Amino acid sequence: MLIVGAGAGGAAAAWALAKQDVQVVLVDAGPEFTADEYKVSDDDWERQGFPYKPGSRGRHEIAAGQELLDRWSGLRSFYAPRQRRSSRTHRGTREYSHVRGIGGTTLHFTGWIHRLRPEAFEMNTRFGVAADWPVSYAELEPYYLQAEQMIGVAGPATVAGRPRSGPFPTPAHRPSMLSQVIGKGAEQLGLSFVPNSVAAPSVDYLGRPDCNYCGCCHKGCPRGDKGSAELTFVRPALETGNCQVFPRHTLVELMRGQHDELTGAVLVDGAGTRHSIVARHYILACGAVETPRLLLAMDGLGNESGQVGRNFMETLSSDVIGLHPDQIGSHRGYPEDSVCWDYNSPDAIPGTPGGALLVPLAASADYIGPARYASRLVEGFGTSFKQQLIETFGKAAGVALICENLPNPRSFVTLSKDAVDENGMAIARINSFLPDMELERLAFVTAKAEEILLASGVPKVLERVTTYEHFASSHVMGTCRMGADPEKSVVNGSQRSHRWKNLWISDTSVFPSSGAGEGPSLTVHALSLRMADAIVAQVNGAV
Amino acid sequence: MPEPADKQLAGRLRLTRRKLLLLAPVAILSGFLGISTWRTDKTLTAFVDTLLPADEYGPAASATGAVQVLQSAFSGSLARNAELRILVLWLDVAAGGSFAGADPETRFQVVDRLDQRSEHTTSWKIYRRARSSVMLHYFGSAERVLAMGLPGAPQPDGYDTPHLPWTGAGRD
Repeated sequence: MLIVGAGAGGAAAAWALAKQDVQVVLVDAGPEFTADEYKVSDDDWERQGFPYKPGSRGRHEIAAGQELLDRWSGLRSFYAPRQRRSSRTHRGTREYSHVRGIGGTTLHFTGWIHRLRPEAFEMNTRFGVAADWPVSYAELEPYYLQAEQMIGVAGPATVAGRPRSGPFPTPAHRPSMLSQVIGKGAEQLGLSFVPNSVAAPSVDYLGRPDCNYCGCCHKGCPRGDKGSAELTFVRPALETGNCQVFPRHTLVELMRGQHDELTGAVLVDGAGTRHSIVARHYILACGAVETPRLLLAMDGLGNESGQVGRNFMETLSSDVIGLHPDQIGSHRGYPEDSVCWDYNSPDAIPGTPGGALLVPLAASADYIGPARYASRLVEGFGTSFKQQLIETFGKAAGVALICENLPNPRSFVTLSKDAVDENGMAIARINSFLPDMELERLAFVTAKAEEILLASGVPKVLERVTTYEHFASSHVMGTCRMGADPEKSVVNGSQRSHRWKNLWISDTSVFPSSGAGEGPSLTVHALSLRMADAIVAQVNGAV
Repeated sequence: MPEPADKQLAGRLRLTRRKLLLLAPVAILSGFLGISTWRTDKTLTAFVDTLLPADEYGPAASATGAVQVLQSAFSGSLARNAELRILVLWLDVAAGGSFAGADPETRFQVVDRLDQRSEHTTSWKIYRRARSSVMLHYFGSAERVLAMGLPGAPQPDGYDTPHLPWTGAGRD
């Protein structure tokens, strides 16, 4: 079994197959990372971000953005000091935030671990948008639970709207002062923030320590408490003795054979040497940008429907932040350790289908050290400025939100016309467009976030950053949709190519809808575990 | 009758976009020829030490290498380099010829006026970039912020009780 991509999907598939005595080769174009590379103990820790290194990010292009319209002025970004706005007339492009490497983007994720709501699997039937999933919540539930147990998720006894067949493996973290303050503000508006389910255990779990609340998840977790995929799935896969892992191995070719089967793969290692490998099955798990890119670059492999690259869905989000009058020490705690589900149901937002979630914000906006405060939130200079900085540090308080993003024909991934990677393959070109329906949803929830922030005691919103102003995505989905109809989807309900009998896809690209802001990694894990069972069944002749 | 000092200063500080555009070629040319590097360094040293002087909270910014950080932040292109030279010219002109030679009160007034300028002015944008570089450098040292009573690097100790109020010092 060859698995290409060692992020959330590939890692879970590797473990699920290896534990069933299937021999697995797991490769990734990116490198390995080790705990000592995460520099959050160093003197200059605050200036250190995630330790990207050569090969740990894929190259891509982002097409020019849409015109920014006056009617969406409530979605324009502004920054401290003075609520400065840009003069841009068109949507800018920031980044597709991801990591290539063993563990993939989970290496720098904050670790929200969410199930989708049952309704999210039926967005077309119930709300007439996106497409239904060919799998139901009930079918996925045992796999959700299994993935949560592998990760050691810390979560509350229940999560609204999501039935469970077993408890989270570790108790929820106690909400930080920031969460408490934002929660009190929300209460005044009739809303509630409840403990979030997150990937860092609240007690020692399967050899991993409990979280010590440094807030640096996005820089990489040096303690190994955060449940990124190289710890939760790759390591157990290796322990089975049935899995080999090869970082810095890039897929450049999948060979088509007769009878609708692939017959081999060609990989290029970090030294530029080509390796051929023959496997019974081939699993692509490279994410919703790279997986369609590879298929399209390999002469449209698996694209009989013309759907590869279509239905791209992105992170539709806003951050709003200000300074709380009280010393809440918001640099401490698990980032986003509570969540507001009140707008999460697909029919919760007036006038537009699709939900959202809101979380407290400080650490993920990098307000965890004095340097960021000094350069942005605290104005002035001189000795009085230093006094002011000491007084202000720990008071940053914000609310972040992520909305559902429904697919539309103008959002898709294709190939660059002229840019190629180090192996001569065209790089991905991301085309993103946000129709009015998306912006109405984002505007509604952004306004709510600002109301919550002000109700919590913050006198003024100092910064508002939205993905209307700039394309900036970490959760990307939908470009190799799963579905029952081979003309409208790329893979079937088991994530197997409609045409190629031994080609499978196991990442967010198979999502028919985005969910309502939930972190997608748990659903990818669960789908991968389920897919592994389908592969084993096929190998054993049961299908 | 002579103008009051603050009015004189205000007149000098009235650097319009036009004046800055006129200064730009001079700044670029001086960059090409390496003119006045010594003087530029003196002005920048005085500037970063006005932003962050030596006091009971810590050393002067220049003693921490902030001038080199600033020069590095504005390197890499002629345009970037010219911006730094425009900042230096602005400070010197506003201070009556030499920012470094001015008394501390005048320096403070000059930087304060720059700090208060409209965010739409070129000079303010350059100032903010410079200020940001200096601040990120100075407060980006865990050792220095610990000396101020702020928490240093968050690991390996983390924080024990984020669910409780913060006392404003140390780990919790």
